[in-house]
Amino acid sequence: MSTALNDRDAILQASSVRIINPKNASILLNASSSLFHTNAAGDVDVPTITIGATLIGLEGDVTFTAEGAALTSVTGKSAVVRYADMQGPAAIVTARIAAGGQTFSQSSIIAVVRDGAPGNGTPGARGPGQHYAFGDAWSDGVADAATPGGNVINDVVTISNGGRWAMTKRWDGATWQAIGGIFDGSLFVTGSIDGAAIRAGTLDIYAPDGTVILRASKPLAEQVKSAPNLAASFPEWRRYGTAWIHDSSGERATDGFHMVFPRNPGGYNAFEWTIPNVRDGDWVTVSFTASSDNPNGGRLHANLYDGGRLDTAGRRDQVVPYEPKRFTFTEQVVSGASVRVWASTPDVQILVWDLKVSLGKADTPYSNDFISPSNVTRRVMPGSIGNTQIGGDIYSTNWNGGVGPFGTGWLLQRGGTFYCGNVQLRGSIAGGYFTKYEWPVAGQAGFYLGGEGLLMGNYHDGRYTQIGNNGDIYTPNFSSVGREVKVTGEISGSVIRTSVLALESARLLTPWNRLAPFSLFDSGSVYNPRVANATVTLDGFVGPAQGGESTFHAKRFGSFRKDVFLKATMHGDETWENLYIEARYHDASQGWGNLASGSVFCEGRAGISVVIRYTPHDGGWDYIAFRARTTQGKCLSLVFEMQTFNFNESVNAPGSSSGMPTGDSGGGGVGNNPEPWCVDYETTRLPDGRFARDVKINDLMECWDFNLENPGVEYAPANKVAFGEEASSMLVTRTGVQIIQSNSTPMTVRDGRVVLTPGMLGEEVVVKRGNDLVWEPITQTFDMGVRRVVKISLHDRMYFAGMDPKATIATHNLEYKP
Amino acid sequence: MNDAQFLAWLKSSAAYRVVLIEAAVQIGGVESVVYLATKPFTTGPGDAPANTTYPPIATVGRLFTERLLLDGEGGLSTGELEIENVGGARDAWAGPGHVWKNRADRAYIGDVRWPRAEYRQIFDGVAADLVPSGRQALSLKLRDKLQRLNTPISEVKLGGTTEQRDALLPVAMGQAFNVTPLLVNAAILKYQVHAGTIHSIIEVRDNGAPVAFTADLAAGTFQLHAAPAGVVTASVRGAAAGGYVDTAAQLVKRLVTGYGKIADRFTEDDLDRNSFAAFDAAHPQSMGLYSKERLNVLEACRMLLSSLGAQMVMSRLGKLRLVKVALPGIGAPVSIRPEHMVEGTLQPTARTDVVGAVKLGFAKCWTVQDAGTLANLPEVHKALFAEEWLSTTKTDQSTLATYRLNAEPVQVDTMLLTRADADAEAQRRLDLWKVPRTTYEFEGVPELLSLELGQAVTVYSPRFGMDAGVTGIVISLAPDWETGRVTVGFLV
Repeated sequence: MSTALNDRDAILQASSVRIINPKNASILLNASSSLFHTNAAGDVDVPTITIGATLIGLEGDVTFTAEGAALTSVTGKSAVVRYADMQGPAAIVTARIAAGGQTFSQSSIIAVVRDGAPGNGTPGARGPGQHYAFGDAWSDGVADAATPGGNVINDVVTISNGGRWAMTKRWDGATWQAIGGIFDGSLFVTGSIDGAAIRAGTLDIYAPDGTVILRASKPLAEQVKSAPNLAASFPEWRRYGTAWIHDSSGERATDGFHMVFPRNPGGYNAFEWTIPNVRDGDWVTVSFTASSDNPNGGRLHANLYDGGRLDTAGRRDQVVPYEPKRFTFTEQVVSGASVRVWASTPDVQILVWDLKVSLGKADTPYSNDFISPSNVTRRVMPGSIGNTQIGGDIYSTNWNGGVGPFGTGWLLQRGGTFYCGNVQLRGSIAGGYFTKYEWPVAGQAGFYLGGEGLLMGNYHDGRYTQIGNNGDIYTPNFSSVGREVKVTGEISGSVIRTSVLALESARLLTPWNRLAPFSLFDSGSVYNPRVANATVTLDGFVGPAQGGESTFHAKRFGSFRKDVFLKATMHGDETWENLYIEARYHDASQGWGNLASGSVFCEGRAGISVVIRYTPHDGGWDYIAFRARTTQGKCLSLVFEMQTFNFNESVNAPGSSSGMPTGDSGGGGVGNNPEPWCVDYETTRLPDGRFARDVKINDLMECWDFNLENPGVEYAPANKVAFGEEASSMLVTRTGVQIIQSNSTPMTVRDGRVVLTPGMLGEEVVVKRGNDLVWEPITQTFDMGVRRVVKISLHDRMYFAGMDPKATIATHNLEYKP
Repeated sequence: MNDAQFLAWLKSSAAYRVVLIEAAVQIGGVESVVYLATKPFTTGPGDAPANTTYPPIATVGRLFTERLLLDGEGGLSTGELEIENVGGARDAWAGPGHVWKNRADRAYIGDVRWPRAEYRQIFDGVAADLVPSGRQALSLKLRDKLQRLNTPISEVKLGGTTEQRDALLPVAMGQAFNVTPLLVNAAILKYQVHAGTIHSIIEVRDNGAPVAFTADLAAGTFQLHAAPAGVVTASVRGAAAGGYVDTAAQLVKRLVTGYGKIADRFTEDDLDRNSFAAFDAAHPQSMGLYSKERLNVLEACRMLLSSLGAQMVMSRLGKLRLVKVALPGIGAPVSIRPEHMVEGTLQPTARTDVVGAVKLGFAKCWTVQDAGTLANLPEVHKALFAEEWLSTTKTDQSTLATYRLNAEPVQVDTMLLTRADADAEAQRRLDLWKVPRTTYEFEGVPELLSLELGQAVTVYSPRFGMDAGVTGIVISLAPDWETGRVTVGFLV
């Protein structure tokens, strides 16, 4: 249900007035100004006045009229009067509306008021003001001259020389008084002070915690430190006992200069230094680095001395052996301050360096903590670098610029490229969009190599390589998973070496998409202890289990017809024996049919042979069995051999062993018959519009490339053209594509079988429509009687022809004809 | 048998197709079923119906043509079945003892070798009549099931002893503005706006002025507090039994399942639920209608659906679907290529008139009142009661100039209630028809038997500028079950 109300009820319900009552109805007018005003010069300060109408107890729009002025921008609720449209000193604007049978109206008067000419009174005295003069020093005379008409109390004069000096004074009625004062810092907005220079030679700037930000007495180099090190160089420190300085060259805190508190001191060992210029109440922070040479470490003390005494208990800490440790303490000065450092463990030598004394409560970084050329000439102490950024490349001292096998050292370029010799990782490496052993989303590529395996490219994009840590390999066209290898496309090579090779493909193709010439053999024999009849049966070649005949072996490689060579050889009595070669087809109930027979004199060895052409039933998987038998009881042994060649689609030319009719009996092939297959003379056209009858030898014709899965077109020359008359039929596909061709024309259909024209109903053929090739079934056939035909041969190709050049059928068959 | 197997069978040259017809008929006052077929067929003991012979006396070509009308008005589809009557063997069927009119007819297709359960339904409708067709045949006139909706919404009368006893009780669906209620009890000033529970009464008026009243929503009535001075009208949100609805799909569903003759009403099983749900989701516009007269259910549905350019169609399985003539059509376009057409059958069949302006009426005033009777109302309100329709016009100046068309088109009335909805619908119609549209027809292969009216298609052909494919909508389907082909009409 919608909550929307229909427009009519919505209008009514939104209305404040549903019924007009004249007693309570009226119009209220309001004007944005009650009058127009002009000054003495005649300029108007209110150029327009808008008059609005408010309806009381009425609904709708009013009509505006005016007397003494013209109206503009008139709407149902307002109108505008412009000063320029006033026709006199006043105008009357009236609004009217009719409702409930009456007319309601209301008027408003707009007037014009004009200022008169200026008066003639005496101007008053000048008040105080801000005045300026030029000069290099203050001069009362210059200041007096700067005030017009004599000085007035609270006049202010500034004398300046153009930016290098200035002074401002106020006139108090008798003298010029300097103006001074303190500016509350909160008055300054951050970033608001902008000047060429501040001249204040004694100005120190402190942070609220006492840290010196800028000290006037220090050289500029000190100012860049957040808290300058006040500590004097080590030789300036007072020494007590046997404490000594490792190097006295005058450096105060760089590596190699140490306070040394030796082993087994004879007495109190200490260094002390009085902090200059320190004020009572200042905070002082002392920090230094120390280490010991004893496995047990040692104890080190440090503290501030105020007026020769310890103001607090000693600050002490354990020094870690062989591992530099940073000490820090902060105290507030009471009455002057000295820094004293001493050791209290007698059998340990303690070194102290990088000592820093700074003002302030915080232990701000000591400048020598930062790496500079002067302090890293020997080494960078472990842990010295917390975080850093490198502005350029870094490389080892032996980097020789070589990236090949002769390169030495390493280079880490700022751009992110790293050259080195060997890399050993505990984890994984990844590039591009990869972060783990997982494909990123489509469109993102890269690689990952880790313990789980290798990923490259992106599976979602179809371009990828995956090698698992179990050895499984996946690529778009190749995979090796477990014990199964899958390849899409061709396998190149000359030898497949295996103990067992199971081929499940229905068609094995050589180049040019021809069937590979496989051969099948079978044989059997019988030995009789005495002369008798013998029968040897061979199951022949059979397809996969079909119906109940699952006991037969799968020996066929395709559903094409076969040429079968059968040979029976017997040995027997020294008389005549009848030898039969027979076949039993799929339907066992049909019994055995004779293929060949003969009467042989079997004193020694004798036999017969036969070649038959066998086409599986209805194109499906089928079987056939063969047997040889004798009938005269003279047989001692009978050997029966079968050999079949899958030559039908091979590169062998017609007339090879399988194509030749042989023997003196049974089912032989058709051999090299003249080519009867042909298309209709009157109606047949080619895709290029020519009539088939106009084709000349060596003319190129569009042919099917015999790609069953993805049909294509190839061109081939006609090698023979002849004419004749034959019984013909019309074939019509599902979409109405038509061709008339001889009944003798064989056609290769979608599953590879070859079918003669009369049997084409329901079979699928290749139809060419424009550039598209599709499979379509033949849905109608019509007997056309004997017609004149064109016999075109392209050897083993099927060419496109039909009654309409826009839609043609691949006709004629491949190399082998039934 | 799944769809793929059925399609393979349709394409197979080895198929022995037979169409079975089961036609309900009243014979001598007893309701019965007559079984016919196009080839001999007898069911087995395990079939339903069991051991039944379907005599091969029927001839079925293009049994039924499904069609979308481009004017959006919708209508009944018709078909015909010829029955052999050689020698007058079935003259009695056309006699007074056999009543075929408005009885269910169903047709199924399958192979003569299949069990009855494997057959697929191809028609579910009703008979208009059975008439002789010459001396040797009878013709069974078929209508789709929409024929069952060709009855009045309500035939319930007020009754009693008043002069209004013969008045039909009104029916209010959705929102209705300014309806004239039925005075059901003058003594207590009681009026009725709907024969049942309603959602609410927005306002009651006396000569256009709102007046006080007390509503009885459960009874669909109200009582005035004072005697009226003039014409009593009301604005209502109507029928609410089962929940108030006011969208086109919901109202149509309510009408076809809850109104009209009880025996002829549709059930939920007669509706294509997916179609209704999708249509309802896409068309949330509020609507309404009001009837005090003999309004037909079919007409009421047409008034609602045509407001959106939609219409009711029956599927082959007898399911009621709501389909709109719009481009693109429903769903992902089905690709139709030359291999799906019988060569040379694709041809243009019609071309639409270009429209440069669309004018729609909306927010119907169900009781138009003379402005002179509406004293003391604001002038702007008087027009709301005096005009039957508010209107909106959308024009395309470029189209008007190009085709030299009239900018003031004939108004088409809708049941839409708001200007926003009417503006949108007018613009939609203008956008659809401001360019010339062409309808084409071709004979399709069995795969296209699965097409449905309103479905989007992309058609490729070397003719008619369809090389790269054009997208259209299926507007007609005429299956030929004997050949497995279907004549497909589409609009681009």
